Amino acid sequence: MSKTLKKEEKVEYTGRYLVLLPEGSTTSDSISTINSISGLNLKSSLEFENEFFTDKDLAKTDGIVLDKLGIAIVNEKPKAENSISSLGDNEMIVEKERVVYAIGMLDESTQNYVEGYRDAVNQMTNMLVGTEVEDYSYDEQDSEVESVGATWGLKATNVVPSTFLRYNPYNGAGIKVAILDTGFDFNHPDFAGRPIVHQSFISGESTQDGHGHGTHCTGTSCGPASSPSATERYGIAYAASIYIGKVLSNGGSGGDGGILAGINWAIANRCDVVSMSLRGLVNGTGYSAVFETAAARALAQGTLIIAAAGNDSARPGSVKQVMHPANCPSIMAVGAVDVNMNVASFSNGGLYPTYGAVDIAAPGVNVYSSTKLPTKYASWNGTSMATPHVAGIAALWAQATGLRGINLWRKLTSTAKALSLPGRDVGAGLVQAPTKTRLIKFPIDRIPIDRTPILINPKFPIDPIGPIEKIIR
Amino acid sequence: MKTKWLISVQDGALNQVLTELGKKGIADVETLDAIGVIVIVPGEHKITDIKKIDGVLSVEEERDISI
Repeated sequence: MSKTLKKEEKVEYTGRYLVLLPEGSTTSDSISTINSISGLNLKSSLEFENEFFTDKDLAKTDGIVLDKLGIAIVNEKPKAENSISSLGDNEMIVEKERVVYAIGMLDESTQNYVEGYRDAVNQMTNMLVGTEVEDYSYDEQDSEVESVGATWGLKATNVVPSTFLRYNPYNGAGIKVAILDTGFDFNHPDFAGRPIVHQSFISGESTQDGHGHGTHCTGTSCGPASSPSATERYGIAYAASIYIGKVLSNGGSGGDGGILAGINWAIANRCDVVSMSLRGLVNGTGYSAVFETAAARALAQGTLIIAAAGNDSARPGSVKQVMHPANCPSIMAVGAVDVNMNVASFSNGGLYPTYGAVDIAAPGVNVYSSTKLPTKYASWNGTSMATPHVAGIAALWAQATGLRGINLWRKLTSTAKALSLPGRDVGAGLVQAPTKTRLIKFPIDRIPIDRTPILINPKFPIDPIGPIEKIIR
Repeated sequence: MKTKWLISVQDGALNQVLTELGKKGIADVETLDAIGVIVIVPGEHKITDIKKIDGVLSVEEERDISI
């Protein structure tokens, strides 16, 4: 997992050693040297047909020198144990051979290759049939609405870029986002007509949000692009599919068994992102092995779980640890910052070297979003408010790149904006949405016919007779 | 509210663990197969009894969570 503070991974060994032979030495010389130093009886790979040998062949010898690589594979035998160390004193580098596994998901190089392939195809398509999204005709009025009519959080995270040279074509379409919280107010007018899949895991309570917290978090992650009654845009992935799992009661509490049930439900519904603005207290005794197993399995199935770091600090005097379940290495923990890019006073920090890191930060102070009726809108503080910013932006990245699970995690952290704050508090930095650069078309169709531009071929000399009209753009 | 226990299970061992829980008379069981976790109401059993079952990775008591 690419947590800011990585989980310790247990390395497994085969019981054999790899010996890197001195530069320039021949295989036969090396075999003679090793055999004389160690008392072993190594063979050369040249002794096998096409230099192909199996584990069984290897087991029958003390070891085999790979002629083309200048590396010896040495079996661990009682007599080898003492002699192996002597090889290190003779310009040879000795390492234990590790057990390796095939990785089921895209690694960085494969990902780069696939992204490069996709970009090449897109470029070729644009050349052949013209571009749709990049060939953007800039409209001044729209830009003003975009840049002024959005929350500070959406601007700071580039969901709504503050410069008109960049724009955000992504809306989360085709991405499933699960919000595990207090439910949702299905009567909220901003979500009228929006299909919402929902399930309650609270006995005796429907998914209808009797608290308001779940509706607020849903609003930030998946709220609309525009609303007749909201004072500004507050929703990020406005075309994402919304999955509401009610795992906290109308009183705002629940058991973590219900949270696991919610995660399970989200995975079963193939949700790409799970947002959890909730926390259980911990007292420094590590993280939950059960939740870690569940989150690792979720990642392996392409579901990224994002959770609030917790609001238990009172900075600057008191910084509390990241709470459960965000402290699990396979769950992305979110800290909160304010509009001035200061750590929110309440935001918990990563206090331990091997677990419980804050992975990323997002706006969490004075966050305007939807809430349950009749209040309809409210500005709240908390890592609970920061978490759905990351979830919504994760949906945008998932749409933009096709990445899922751990690769989506890496994309979020690798594109975060570095802040001049301790990694303990903000991890990789402030989460950033994917954007594109506008290619502004010259507005020829808007020029009056009597001001038709004079086309000048730069290869021709300027007409020496008449003045050349200068086009003012 | 009765305390629940959360049991994470090795890959492929879900049915085997469910069978063993059944043999111990634990009937109040919720299976979360996408994440390989079983949630039980343990009754009079001890956590160590459950940990001994082949295929069980870890057992924890359910915790309280809030916003």
